[in-house]
Amino acid sequence: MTPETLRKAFFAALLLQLVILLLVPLQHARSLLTGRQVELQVEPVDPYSFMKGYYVTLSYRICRPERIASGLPDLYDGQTVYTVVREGANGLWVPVSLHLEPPADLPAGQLFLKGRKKGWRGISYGIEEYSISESKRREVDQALRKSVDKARVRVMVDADGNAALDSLEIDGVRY
Amino acid sequence: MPEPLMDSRFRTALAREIPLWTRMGMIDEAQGKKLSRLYELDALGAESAKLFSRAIMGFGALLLGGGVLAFVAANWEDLPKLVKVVMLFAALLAFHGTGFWLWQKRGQERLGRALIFAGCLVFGANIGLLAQIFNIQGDTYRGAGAWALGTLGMAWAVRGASSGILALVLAFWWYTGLLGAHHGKTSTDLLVTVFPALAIGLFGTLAVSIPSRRLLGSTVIALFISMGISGANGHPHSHIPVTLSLLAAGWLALAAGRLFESEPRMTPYAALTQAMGWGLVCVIGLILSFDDLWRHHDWFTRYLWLVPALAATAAGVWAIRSSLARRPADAAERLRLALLGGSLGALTLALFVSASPVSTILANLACLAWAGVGISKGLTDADRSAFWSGSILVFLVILARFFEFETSLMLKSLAFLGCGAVTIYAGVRYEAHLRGKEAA
Repeated sequence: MTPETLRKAFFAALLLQLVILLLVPLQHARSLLTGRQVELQVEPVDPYSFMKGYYVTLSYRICRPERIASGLPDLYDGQTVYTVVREGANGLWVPVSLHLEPPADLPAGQLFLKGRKKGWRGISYGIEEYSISESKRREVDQALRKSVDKARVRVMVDADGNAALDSLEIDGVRY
Repeated sequence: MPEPLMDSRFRTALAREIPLWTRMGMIDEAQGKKLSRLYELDALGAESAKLFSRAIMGFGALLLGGGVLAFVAANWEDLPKLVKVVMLFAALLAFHGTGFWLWQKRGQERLGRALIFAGCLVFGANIGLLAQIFNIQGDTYRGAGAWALGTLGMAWAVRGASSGILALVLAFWWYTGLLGAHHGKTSTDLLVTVFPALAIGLFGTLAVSIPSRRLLGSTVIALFISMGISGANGHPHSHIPVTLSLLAAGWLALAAGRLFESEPRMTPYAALTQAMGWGLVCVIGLILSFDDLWRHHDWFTRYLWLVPALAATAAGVWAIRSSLARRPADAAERLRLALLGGSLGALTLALFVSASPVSTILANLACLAWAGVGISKGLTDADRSAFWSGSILVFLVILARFFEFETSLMLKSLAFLGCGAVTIYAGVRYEAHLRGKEAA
């Protein structure tokens, strides 16, 4: 390989790595920048294992298909679903219906989130784990144990239903 | 005219030896001075001082880097997202850029390559950190796939063996993760079918172009495993597809090894490839030589695994034909090739018959035929490893039969003693045979 070819190949490979790194957060950045804001009530998962390493594990009403609508067909693992939500009391958003295709012509004040069936955990929207810094781990863990009913998350949802977790709030304190 | 060897270790030894040679009268002082000038021995002292100062500076740079890392880590949580992202990209560019600059501009290839490899590790860490910064939740194997892609690109660009092996391991992580997550889907089945070819095409060719034995060996292992997965996919109760796929992979490695022997650029890889292929077919033969295996298993119901198995078989046939056209076999090798091909065919027949005792007998005969091939190669080519692998295979087949069937403890003990004594006798006779050949 000539030095010129090596130089070109090296910079092409470096560019490839940079492009891959840019693509990693692209979807989330798009949702955070252009999405609509939704606030969801956090529900207890397993009070003894909120913290998993540097993540807090979260669950929501929209994760349980049986709590969104009744008489739904059985969902297979990995199946994509679309959950319509509307803004309810206290600014918290609640589920309205579940669809197997992206819903069209939703009334004002409603939007949909794209999720995927994931085993016993129900439907995952990619917002079930929140990264927590080491110094705040204990504080968040204790706050969740004490006031999980006062925990909510702020999620940004883009036009395609992709959700990006923005922040976690427990009893008025934002993390 | 070839260049003098300027390796510092050699030159240091030469500087130590020249006064001795002069004292012993082997060379005169003028010749000694000529040698000193040719190998620039007077510059050795200055070079080692420079090397020492470089090492000190390198150590200082490491401490500085450690300090910066510790400072960033201590303040990482408080940094804004954008600053964190910029720092991740800067770290990647710093590793790769410095590595390439040291290699190309300062001639420090080893250090430069090491930094580029470290850059590939930083690239992987950056994928994980970006996911953490943006709270991206997803399957870990997908991150491994992205890491493999970027690392493979860099490995091809700089012909890096370490980066190539890292990319291969990551690609396998992605592949197995995807299989687990999307088991049974058509797209997954197609990936399983083409993965062995992808392993050869992306990593085998890279190994040859570097050239790197480590990467080639890793690729052959990847080929074997992916062929095994291709056969096992969707067949939990039938060993026919998995063993046939593995036999085809072993055959391809053996045939490719012979082709490598006749290609000067590839000769260093011939022994490794053949040994790996040989090891695989022997292990498969030994497993199939157990009678119990043929009593409880199902027939296969899916056919996609036949695509890579037949492709590997055909590629092996092509490799053997090409190698024979370049380097025709002598009578002894023709016999060995016929024995090898015939026994592989016998084992394939055993798998399709799949009934005891016919399949058991065929598998045992195939193992003994391979042992014969190894011993014959050892005797005619003075190849110790071939002789011993053939001998060990015979004893393993004998011992396996003694343990498989109900025989008295006394008989088992006699079998052990007999095999041990014959091994020692064969070894002594073989070494005597080799000495006789050397003397002749």
